[in-house]
Amino acid sequence: MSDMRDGKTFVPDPNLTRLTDERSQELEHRDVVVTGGPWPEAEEDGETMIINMGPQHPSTHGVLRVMMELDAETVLRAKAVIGYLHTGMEKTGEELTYVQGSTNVTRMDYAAPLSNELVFSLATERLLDIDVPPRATWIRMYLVELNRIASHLLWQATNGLDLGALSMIVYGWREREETLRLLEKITGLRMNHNFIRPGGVAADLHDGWEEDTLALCDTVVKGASEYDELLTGNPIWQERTAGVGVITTEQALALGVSGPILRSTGFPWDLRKAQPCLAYDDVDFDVIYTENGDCYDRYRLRLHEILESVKIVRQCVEKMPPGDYRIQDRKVTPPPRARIDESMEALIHHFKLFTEGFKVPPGETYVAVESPRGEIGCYLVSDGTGKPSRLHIRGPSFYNLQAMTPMLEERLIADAVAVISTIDPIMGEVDR
Amino acid sequence: MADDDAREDNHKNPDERTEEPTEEEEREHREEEKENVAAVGGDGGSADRRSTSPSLGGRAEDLDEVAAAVVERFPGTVFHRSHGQPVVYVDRSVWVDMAGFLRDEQHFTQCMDVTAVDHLVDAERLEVPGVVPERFEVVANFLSHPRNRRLRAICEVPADAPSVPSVTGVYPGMNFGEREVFDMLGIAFDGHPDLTRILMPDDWVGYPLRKDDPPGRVPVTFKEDPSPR
Repeated sequence: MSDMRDGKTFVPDPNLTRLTDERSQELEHRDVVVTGGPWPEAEEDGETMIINMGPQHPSTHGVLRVMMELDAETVLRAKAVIGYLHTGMEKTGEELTYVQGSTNVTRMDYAAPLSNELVFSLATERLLDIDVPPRATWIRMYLVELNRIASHLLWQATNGLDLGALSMIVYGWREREETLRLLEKITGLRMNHNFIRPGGVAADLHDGWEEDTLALCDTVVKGASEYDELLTGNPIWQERTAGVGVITTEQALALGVSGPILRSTGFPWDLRKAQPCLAYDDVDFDVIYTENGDCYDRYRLRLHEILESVKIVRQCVEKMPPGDYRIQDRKVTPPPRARIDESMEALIHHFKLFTEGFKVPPGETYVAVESPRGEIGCYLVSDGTGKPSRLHIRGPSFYNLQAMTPMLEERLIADAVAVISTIDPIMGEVDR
Repeated sequence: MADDDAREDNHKNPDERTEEPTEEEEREHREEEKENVAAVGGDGGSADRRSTSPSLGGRAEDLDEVAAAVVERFPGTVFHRSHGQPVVYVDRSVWVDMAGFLRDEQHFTQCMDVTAVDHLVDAERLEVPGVVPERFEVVANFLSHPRNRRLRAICEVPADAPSVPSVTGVYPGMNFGEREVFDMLGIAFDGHPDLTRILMPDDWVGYPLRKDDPPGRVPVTFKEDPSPR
C-alpha cells in the first residue's frame, strides 16, 4: 500500500496500478457453479436452518433480502431476493419523451445519478447520430468523475459503518457532503440532477468553478488520506475484511460482474480505458486493480479510485475547452430563454420540444459506460416516435449482486455484512 | 436572468446561424463527413444525420469479423450494422450454440446483458433485410475482453410460443437477466435453473413490460377502505 500520509500528493503503487490485459489472455473458461437454483425445503435433521437477512436489515443498503441456510454460524448457501424497490422505471421510460427521459433514469442508481443520465443521453444521441460539442463532453466527464468521488465516499462511509468503524460514517459523509455541495452549485440539486441531457448538458459551469473544484480536490485527498490512516493498517479492520468474500476472476466473469469487484480480482478492465467514450483518451489516469478479490482489496481499490478520479477532475479544470455546452440544434436542445421573447421560431421550437419532444428515427443501440459500480448500459429502441419503444438499463449492481452467492458460501454469518457492503449494491438500480 | 443573458452572448442568434454556410460549403462538409465515415468502416451511415431511414449494414466491407464467423457457422444468421455496432440476428434454435461458440472459440469472455423488446405497437419498426419480424425480440450483449469488442445477438420470438433456450449453461451470470425478462415480458427460457419472478411478487398476474399490459392497473387501497383489493 502506498503512503498517502503527506495529505497532498499521492504516489501510486506500481504494483497496484499496472495496466495490462495480459491476464485476460490466460483465462480459462471453466464452468462456474453459481447461485439461484430452486431451494428445496431444509432437511428435517435439525442441523441447518434457513433464515432471512433483510429486507429491512440496516446493513443491506436498502431493501435487499438475503436467504441463507445456516449450520450454526456457517453459511452453507445464500440467495439474493430482490424486487422490493421495483418501481417500474423501464415501463415509465416508455411513457416519457426523450427530453423527459433523463429525469427518469437519474433515479435508478441514486448514488451515481449522473452516470445514468450520461448513458441514456449517449444512447439517444447515437440513435440521432449527433455529436455534442467538446465542452459538453468535458463537462460530462468532469461531472461523472465528481459523482464517482461522491459515490465512493458514500461507500467508504457506509462500509465503515457496517463493519463497526463507526467514525467512518462521519468522516465519509463530511467529504461527500462537500462534493455534493459542489454538484449542487453546478446542477442545482444534490442528487437526481437531470443535468446531462440528450444534446449536451443543461447549463454552463458557474463562474469560479475552477477554484471550487480545486478546493474540493484538496479536501477529498486529505479525507482519503485520513481514511487510509484510520483503516488500511488497522489490524481489526484487516481481520474483518482480508480473506473475506473472495471471488476469482473466472467466477466474476462468468457471473457478469464488472467494475470494482472485477478489478479487485486482478483483472484490470475499466471501460474508461478500454473503450473510452467522452474525453477519457485525453486525460491521464490509472486503472486501479488488486490481486486478491477479497473485501479488503475492494476497500483499498475504491479508496484509490477516489484519488484517480481526483486526478481526472484536476485535469478537467486545466483542459476544459471553451465553446458551447450543448448542441445548437433547435430540434434537440431548447433555445436560450432570452431568444423566446424575440423570435417566433425560437418560441415554436421551445414549445414543440417540451410538449412532444423530438422524433428519433427507428433503430436500436446499446451504449455502455463505466459507472462507479461497473458497466452501466442502456439498450434503447426507437420506433420513430418521440418516446422510446423500449428503454432498458443494464444496472451493474443487478448483475454484481449475483457474486454474493459464491462469496458467502462456507463463510461465517458475520462476514455476510462485509460481503454485501463491499458489493456496493444500490437497490434502486437493482430493482429499477 | 443575468446568467441567461451572458449565455445568450456566447452564441448569438443560434437560429440564424444554421443558415450561414453557403450551399457549396455545406456540400463540401457533407462530403468530408462521408469520407470520415468511410475511414472508420461505415459507421452506421451517419453521413446524412437527419435521415429517417438509417442506412442498413450488410455491405461486404462492413462485415465484422466475429459476425462473419457467426454467419458462417450458423447459416441463416443475418448480419446488421446498427449505428456502427455489429448485430447478428440468430435463429432461436441455435441461440445457445451461438453463445457457446462465442465463448469458446471467439473469446467472448462475458455476456453483459440479456433483455427483450415487445414490438406489438411499434409505429415504425427498423427493417432488417432477411429477418422475419416477430412480436418479441430477445437481445443479448456479448463482450470480449481480450479482443476488446462487442457483439449483439438478437433472436426473433413469436408471440404464440414465447420461449428461448437459456444461455445460463454457458454464461451463468445471465440467471438474473433471464429471470427479469421472464418476469417482465413473459418469455420463458428453457433450461433455466430457477425461472421464477424476480422483481414482481410471486403471485403477480401479467407481464408488466408487454405493450398490452397497461400501466396503473392496480387499484390503490387505503387503510380505511373496506373493499378488498
